[in-house]
Amino acid sequence: MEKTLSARLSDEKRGTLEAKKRRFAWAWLIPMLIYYTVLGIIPIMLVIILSFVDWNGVYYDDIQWIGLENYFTIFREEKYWRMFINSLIMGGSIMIITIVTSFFIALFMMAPIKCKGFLRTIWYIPCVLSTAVVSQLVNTILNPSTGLINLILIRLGKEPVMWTLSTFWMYFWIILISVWKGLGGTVILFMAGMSGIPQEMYEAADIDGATKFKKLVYITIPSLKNMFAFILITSSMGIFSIFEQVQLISGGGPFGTTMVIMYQIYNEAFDNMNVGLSSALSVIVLILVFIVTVLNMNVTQMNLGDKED
Amino acid sequence: MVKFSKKDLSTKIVAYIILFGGGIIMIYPLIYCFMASLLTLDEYLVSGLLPVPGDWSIERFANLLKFFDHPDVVPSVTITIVRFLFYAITNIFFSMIGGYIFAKIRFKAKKFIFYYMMITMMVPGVATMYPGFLMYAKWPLVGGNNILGQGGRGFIGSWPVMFIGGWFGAYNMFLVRQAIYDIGNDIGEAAEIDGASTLKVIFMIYLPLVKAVMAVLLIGLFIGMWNDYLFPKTFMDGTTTPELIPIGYKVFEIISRAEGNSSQLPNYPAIFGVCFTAMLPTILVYALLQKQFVQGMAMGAVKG
Repeated sequence: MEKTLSARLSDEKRGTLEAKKRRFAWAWLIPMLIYYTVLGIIPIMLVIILSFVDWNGVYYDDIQWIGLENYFTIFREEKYWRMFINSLIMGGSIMIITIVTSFFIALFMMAPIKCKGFLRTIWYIPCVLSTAVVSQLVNTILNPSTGLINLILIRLGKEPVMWTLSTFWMYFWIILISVWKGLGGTVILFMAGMSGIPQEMYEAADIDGATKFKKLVYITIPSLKNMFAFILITSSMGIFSIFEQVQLISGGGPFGTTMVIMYQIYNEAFDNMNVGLSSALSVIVLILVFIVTVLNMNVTQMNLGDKED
Repeated sequence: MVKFSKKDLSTKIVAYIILFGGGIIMIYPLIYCFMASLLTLDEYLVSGLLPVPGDWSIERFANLLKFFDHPDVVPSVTITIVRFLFYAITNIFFSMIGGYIFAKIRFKAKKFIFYYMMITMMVPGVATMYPGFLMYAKWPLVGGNNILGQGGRGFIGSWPVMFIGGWFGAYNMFLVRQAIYDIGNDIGEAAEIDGASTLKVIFMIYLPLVKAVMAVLLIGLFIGMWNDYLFPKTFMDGTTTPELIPIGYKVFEIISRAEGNSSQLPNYPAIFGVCFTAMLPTILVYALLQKQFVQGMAMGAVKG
């Protein structure tokens, strides 16, 4: 085998080169880390500190240290529990439906078909649209008296549905819209993973006379182990982030039954000026996300992106 | 690559049916939105799943242009694009440098810093939005604040607030890192032995090789900036320069203007027209860079 260039380098030269690169790394990393710490990490530390106070967010003099009182309030009141459960139901269903559907869509996308670019584009288009505008459209279409769906129902002789007054339908529409909007991104990730599976494995399986189902179970799925782990970890991080769709489509209604935790965090901080409670809710979300991520990483045995050491 | 045998017609047919059938569902809302915008209000109220206008005269397309009726559209779109360009430059610059450092340089505490940089990826944005808001609002000596950050509004409501955070993101950096890691060391080292500076190696040698990943970054940033709704809503609250609110939030004002007089029935076709025009730029940008996007995702994605 031909020696690679790096192997031919003398140790001495290699040493100076490495030292030069190390200096470069620190010279850039230090300012980047300072910027990242100030704007990314300090807010996280602040949210932890603020979760122990009672404050309206205006004057420093009004800050009252109340210890764990905010947490006790959250544990006492059932409505906060419900919001966590709502997030879990909504985010969880969106995640599961999206992962399962997009896996099969990606599988079909890899078939030797024509118009691949066109198909990829139309499947991805919902991902590039703004949640705000899409929600506006959904609200127009769901309008009880002039919305498209009720107009059609009336014409078919059916009773129009009061969408916004039904918890079930609000869940249905929010989940449907979120899956529709998120599907394409996961399809692309699965396709990226599938295109990395060596062709020879399938050829070998063909020689052994493996069925399509067997190839799927014994080659495709195991080969995508890391990709599954990556998608599972990143999308379960997002379970509790679900917010904009809810704010703009159901507004948490009817009667707060679709209220999700992230929406409450936003409302408490920016509308109710209840900084302490909002921060305590945030801290609970951070702890939950952390637990889910660590569990996921252990179950899937994955070092996210860091495969070197 | 997942292999299907050439003779296997049934698989192909199923694939076509599912991908085209499902694809139509994926873009149906867009088609509906476009067609409905061509109607008059009376036609809309009796229209069905696929509205077809009575005729195809040029005046029919006027609703699509209602987007430009609002006096703030030009400054709002301008600030959105300026924001995009600003973040495109900073993100490409720092992601390339950070990606190269994590991919090609060995140094102490690398693993620790790598995980440290990942923390914000794990944290949902809204959960730390208030502390971020507080920091901007209480920034010393800005926007009427004294040295303790009291008395004024800080950065809140002024346009510079839109350029402070997010110069680089962990996700983008790791995407670039993964792509650079997969390129061998030889090309870069050959140039460095010839005396090229590390910056030169990064931007003259590695950047052209990971162009496709840059397409991923650019598309992501453009979509993010054009659709950004929550940040302007929260951080530009009570601004003295309302025309500089980015389009992602401004679009609500434009829609409510198109709705017309509130005592009558809202002008639904006009709403659809504004929505369609507002969605068009991100679709066009994606369609243009689609090929590089898919390639870039494959380069930057986790392997195996």
